[in-house]
Amino acid sequence: MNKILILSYLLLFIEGSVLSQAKETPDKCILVFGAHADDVDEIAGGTFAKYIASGYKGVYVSVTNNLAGCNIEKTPYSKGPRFTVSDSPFKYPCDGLETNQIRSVEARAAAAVYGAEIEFLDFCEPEVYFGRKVIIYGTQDFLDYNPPGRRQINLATRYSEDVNVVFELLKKYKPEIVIIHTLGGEKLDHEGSAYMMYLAFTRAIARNIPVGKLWMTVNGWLLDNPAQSNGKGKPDIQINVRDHLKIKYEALNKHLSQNGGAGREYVMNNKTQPKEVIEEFMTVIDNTK
Amino acid sequence: MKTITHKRKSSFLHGLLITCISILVFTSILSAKVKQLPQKCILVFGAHADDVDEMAGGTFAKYTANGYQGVYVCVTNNLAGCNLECTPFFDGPKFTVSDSPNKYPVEGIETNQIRSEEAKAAAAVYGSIPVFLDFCEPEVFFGRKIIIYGSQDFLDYDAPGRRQINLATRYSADVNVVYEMLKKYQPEIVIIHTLGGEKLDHEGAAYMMYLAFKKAIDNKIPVGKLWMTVNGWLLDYPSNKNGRGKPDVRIDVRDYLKTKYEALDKHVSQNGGFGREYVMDDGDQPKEVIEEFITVVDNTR
Repeated sequence: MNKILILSYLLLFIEGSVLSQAKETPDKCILVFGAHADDVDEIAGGTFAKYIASGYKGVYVSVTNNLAGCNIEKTPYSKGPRFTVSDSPFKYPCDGLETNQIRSVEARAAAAVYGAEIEFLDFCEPEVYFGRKVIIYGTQDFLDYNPPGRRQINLATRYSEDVNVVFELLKKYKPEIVIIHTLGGEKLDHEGSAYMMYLAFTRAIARNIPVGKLWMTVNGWLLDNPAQSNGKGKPDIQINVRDHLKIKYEALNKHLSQNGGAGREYVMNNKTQPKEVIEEFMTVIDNTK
Repeated sequence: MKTITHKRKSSFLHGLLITCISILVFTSILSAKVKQLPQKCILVFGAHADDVDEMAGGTFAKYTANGYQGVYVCVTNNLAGCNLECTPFFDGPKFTVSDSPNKYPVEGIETNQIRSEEAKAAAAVYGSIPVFLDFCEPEVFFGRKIIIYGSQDFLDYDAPGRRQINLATRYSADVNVVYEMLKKYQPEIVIIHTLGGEKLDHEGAAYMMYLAFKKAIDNKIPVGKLWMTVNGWLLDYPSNKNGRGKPDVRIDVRDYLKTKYEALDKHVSQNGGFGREYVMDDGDQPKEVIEEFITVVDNTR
């Protein structure tokens, strides 16, 4: 009788540990965490397309609410006529809410190209355009404008309730791969978004949420001479995206307000963008080992 | 014969001319090179009043003891981070007037004053120059209420200081504040917090210096090396394994720990005068005898 009891306990224990191990495996999901509406395509569009084509679920995240960065009549980088109603040679900043609407619609269209789900996290950008006036976060004008959205993304990294917004996203999707901007390597919103995910990712691991690998792009100080010569700036992940560039650029072209529909030119003009055929990343955390 | 003499004279003059021009060019290159050397100066760029001591106190003491001018920078205005009656990490009696076992947040302006005094006293221990850049912290205490940057309460409080340090990295006028400091001191060594590796103010301060340092190089200001501490993701498993988090600068500060802790003890509002315990309790702090850094930019090569 005793032996049967011990055997039953053993079986239960083995079953329990097998079940808990199964629970801990991340889902076949890739989540790209772009600060702005078009960042997913720019930082990892080819990789995103490749994984989705291989059966992964894609989650296309726009971290900020894109209150700034949009113009009418002429786009910032292209001479194309595809974003004008008057053929004016000048560009005029759009107001905050208009920018938010335009860029959200563009991001939805881009996410649809990959067949990905889209998430807007709605953290504030540091600026809003109001006519030709730039209104900066933290000023009376910004408060008076009363834009929708959470705290500015960098400031938000300081508060648990804000980190939890991203933590809940990880809990929902349990992604095997998460891609962020460079930690400490780039402009304000990019850095803030990257660090926010880093905090949420480490929190997820601490709470046994099955997340896999956290990769980041290679920018900023990692491209400077010391990091390049001593190997610190060397990416350990290289993804060949040759067969997926068509989808990447189709998605990127949806961001008319940024590139006038000339996504490839826009990306290739920017030397900090990933290489075209091989997209490169660094592993920040590997929770699969 | 006359023609040959004339030719010889002419070629002699020609040679003399070339020699003179060569000397002039060489001298001007040499003087330009001399002008471009950084000063024998070490600048540590701490986000808060006690960060210089915590992140590189031993290195700072060692270099200043070896004849370097020390510049002790406090980037933010320290509006938050100070308590009364009980210090954050110790129950020591050195910061109490009532022997209360509880701690009470000090208001913004008072905190600014207390921490500035402490930083000046710490800088004096090294014989260094304290510089306060006065960028805002993201919070102010108002009684027991926390007021967050960007809120109406923060604006109503009307705290002194520049923009919040992270936001400031976006604006040329703010980056120029740091750039002007580099122009003034032309430091051979600058030490910052970890880029992308730490909490808000630390990261903001580090990135602000990175931007200013690059601008200084672009404008031919003679600055030397930019080192950063090793924290955050650089301490995580992949970076530790693949060498990305491995420091390339290691300074033996064994003989300078006394000065470091003497300076750190001046920050009574933070550590109750127990600087060593305070630092050694924190896993992120540098190792005691060897302080380690990563070279971010090297402008001496």
